[in-house]
Amino acid sequence: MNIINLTPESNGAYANQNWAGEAPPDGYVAIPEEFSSVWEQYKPFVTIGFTDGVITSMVDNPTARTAQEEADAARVVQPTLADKNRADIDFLAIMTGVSL
Amino acid sequence: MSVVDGVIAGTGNSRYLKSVSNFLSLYPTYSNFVSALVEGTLPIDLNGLNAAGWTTLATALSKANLLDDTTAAAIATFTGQSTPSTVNAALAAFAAATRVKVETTSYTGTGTGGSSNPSSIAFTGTPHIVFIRGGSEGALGIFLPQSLTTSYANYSYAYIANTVARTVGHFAQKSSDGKTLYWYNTYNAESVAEQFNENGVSYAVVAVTL
Repeated sequence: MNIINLTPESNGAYANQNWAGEAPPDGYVAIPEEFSSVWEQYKPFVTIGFTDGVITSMVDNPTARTAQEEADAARVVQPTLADKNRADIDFLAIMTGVSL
Repeated sequence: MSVVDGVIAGTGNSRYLKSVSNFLSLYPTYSNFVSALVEGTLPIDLNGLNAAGWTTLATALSKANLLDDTTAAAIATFTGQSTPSTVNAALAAFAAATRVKVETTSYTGTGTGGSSNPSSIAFTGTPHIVFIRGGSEGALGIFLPQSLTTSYANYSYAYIANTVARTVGHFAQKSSDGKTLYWYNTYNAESVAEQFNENGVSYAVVAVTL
């Protein structure tokens, strides 16, 4: 079964995992079968209604998703070690007049 | 040899009875016979099976097919328990033995990272080694929860991807019962890739648990 944390994260997404045990661990709740297709389509950005710790509604949360996607796009991509090594090689090639 | 269930033919002759040689002198009347039977003193042996009364003869239970000495010794070695002398003791030895499990699970990343957004995953058993695989860099994460405490510490998990193998900035801790793992990354601008929590990415998890 799929389980989600009862408390959404700061960006509105729900932490989640597949669970092979019987009862979900503390702080988590099982996604009822009737909402599994909604979850699979929109995870992890959904708006959830709870009644006594049980999920009673689940719909898409496009606002949170869009905000996260914009944040992802704006995130500064740091050069990888391979990028840095390539830059060093290119610099040495230019300085020595060779092709590397 | 497989165990065979017996099938009685239903002809009324599946077994033999045997009694003492002076049976008639002990119970000369039907009344004497019935009295001894009712009092529970009538002497008989169950004198074996009559194959003619069976459609299929059953496999007889014996030490050889229930728990022989070789199997008992092997169970003792495998379970670390004392050598079982009965089938029940053998089953109890397995029940008491430490059981190693391989748990597999998965989760979908939420796109958050850093110390204010730790990730977590729960297990049914107590994990001793955890692998996480996935993300845009095809990374592999390795956690050794037995070396963790209930407080976050740096260098607590390895992130291996492409030409990178790093532990710096990788914080982790475990729950008080040891069954939940928490972690976050502060390296590389709190990279969600290094936290194995990229938005919408499916991560595979394999753990060895006890």
